[in-house]
Amino acid sequence: MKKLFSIILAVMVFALAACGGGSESTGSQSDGSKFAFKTGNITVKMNADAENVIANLGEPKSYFESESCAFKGLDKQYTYANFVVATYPKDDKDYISSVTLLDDTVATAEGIRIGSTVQEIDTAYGSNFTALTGESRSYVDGDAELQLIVTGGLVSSIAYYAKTDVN
Amino acid sequence: MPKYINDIIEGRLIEEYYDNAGGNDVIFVSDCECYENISPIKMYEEYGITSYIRGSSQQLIWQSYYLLEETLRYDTPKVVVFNVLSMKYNEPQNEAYKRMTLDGMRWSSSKWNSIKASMTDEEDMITYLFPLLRYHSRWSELTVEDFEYLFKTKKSFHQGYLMRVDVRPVTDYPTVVPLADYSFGDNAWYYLNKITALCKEKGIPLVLMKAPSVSPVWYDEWDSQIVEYARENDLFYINFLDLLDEVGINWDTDTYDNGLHLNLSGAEKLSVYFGKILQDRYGLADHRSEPETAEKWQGYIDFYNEMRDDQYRELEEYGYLKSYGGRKPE
Repeated sequence: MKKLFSIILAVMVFALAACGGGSESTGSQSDGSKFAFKTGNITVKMNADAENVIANLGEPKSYFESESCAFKGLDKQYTYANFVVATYPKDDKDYISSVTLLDDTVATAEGIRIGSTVQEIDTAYGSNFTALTGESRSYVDGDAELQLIVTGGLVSSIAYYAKTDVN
Repeated sequence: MPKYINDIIEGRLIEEYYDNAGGNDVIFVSDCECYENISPIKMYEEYGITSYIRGSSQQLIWQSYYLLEETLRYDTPKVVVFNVLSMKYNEPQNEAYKRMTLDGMRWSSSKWNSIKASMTDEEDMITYLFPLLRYHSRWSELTVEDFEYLFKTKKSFHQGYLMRVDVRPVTDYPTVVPLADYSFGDNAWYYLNKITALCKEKGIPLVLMKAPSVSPVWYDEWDSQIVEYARENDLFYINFLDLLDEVGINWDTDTYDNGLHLNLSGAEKLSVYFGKILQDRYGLADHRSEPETAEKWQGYIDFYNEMRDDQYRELEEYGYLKSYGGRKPE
């Protein structure tokens, strides 16, 4: 009986294989976004291959890695003097998952930094945003999201996030 | 579909329950924060408490609800424990993780509803009904393992507990980055309310817990919401991050992955500490003097000890847990 079932199953597997399609979705490579963090002459794009970016950023102040539950690979977090870069693993490579700005010595490419006003945000990014809690905002372009946390009319935190199905 | 035999064994956590269903006084529903941090075998050895962890990787709260609903058809626990980390997810996440929870469930209305709650717009229900349709492109990747385990599977867990004896200490802590919004989402609250209501309807005390882990970060703002919810709903909430010294967790020796999960040493410490609280608070019976239960559990203990010894042997032989998902030393 088991032998018969094995034969039927094998026929089904090969028949289904022949119908094509069915590629598995496990993340996306960047198609580009206007939102990217720039520090010196280094641009950190969301979902970009992290290897060169991390190498060019130099030695971080601290480094933290955590294994993914069940799947192979490590989520990594590199903390520099005034920003944090995080990566996610996919197919034996690491990709940028987020950048968080930590103080007002760094700014977005459009000039917004911690302490900027809502009016300055409007000027830099316009009104096409999703409102978050309170006055905070989310701007999305392509595969990147820019989150601006606003407290008391002033930016209190800035973060870029990769839009991806890998969490 | 993946057989999850030697590679990603977590994929078999859910289905393994059906072999040991029934007779469990405590049911844990949770992501890895229970199935890698609590040892039901140790709890039984210490206190005679019978328990099972219905855990799976990145188990989302609606999946926890439907798993609990299903479990209550097989078991009549005296206590249900839910770990609260998954409150941070309000929407369906990574498909591969979802499948590790859903594919292993037996067919029931609970499974159907869990799939519906977990699916994204791009996914097809039929691929959850017949996983072969989702994985048919995998035919070229089939290995000897797939055929060896075509009609059988390999037992890997201990009442839902995933054992790891290796040690990888905490050497650093993650930088805590601020969030735009610390409020848990409506969907997460909806299902927490359903879990609470289900337990109340069945007359089962519900305990909320937060496992001790260095990562992912458990924000104070999140904790405050759970504290308030527990107060409003008259639930017992225990945050083990506040009790590391009392439990005796040592991040140099009690974790195998830099503080994400506990290893066997840490899990046994947590189980001894938590088991006493559960037994004292809910008057859980000591089943060790019941011959039938004792015989059944002795089998579980023997398997537990065999695996522990085998893992130590592998550590000695290879320097890492070669066949248990361990990381090769760099």
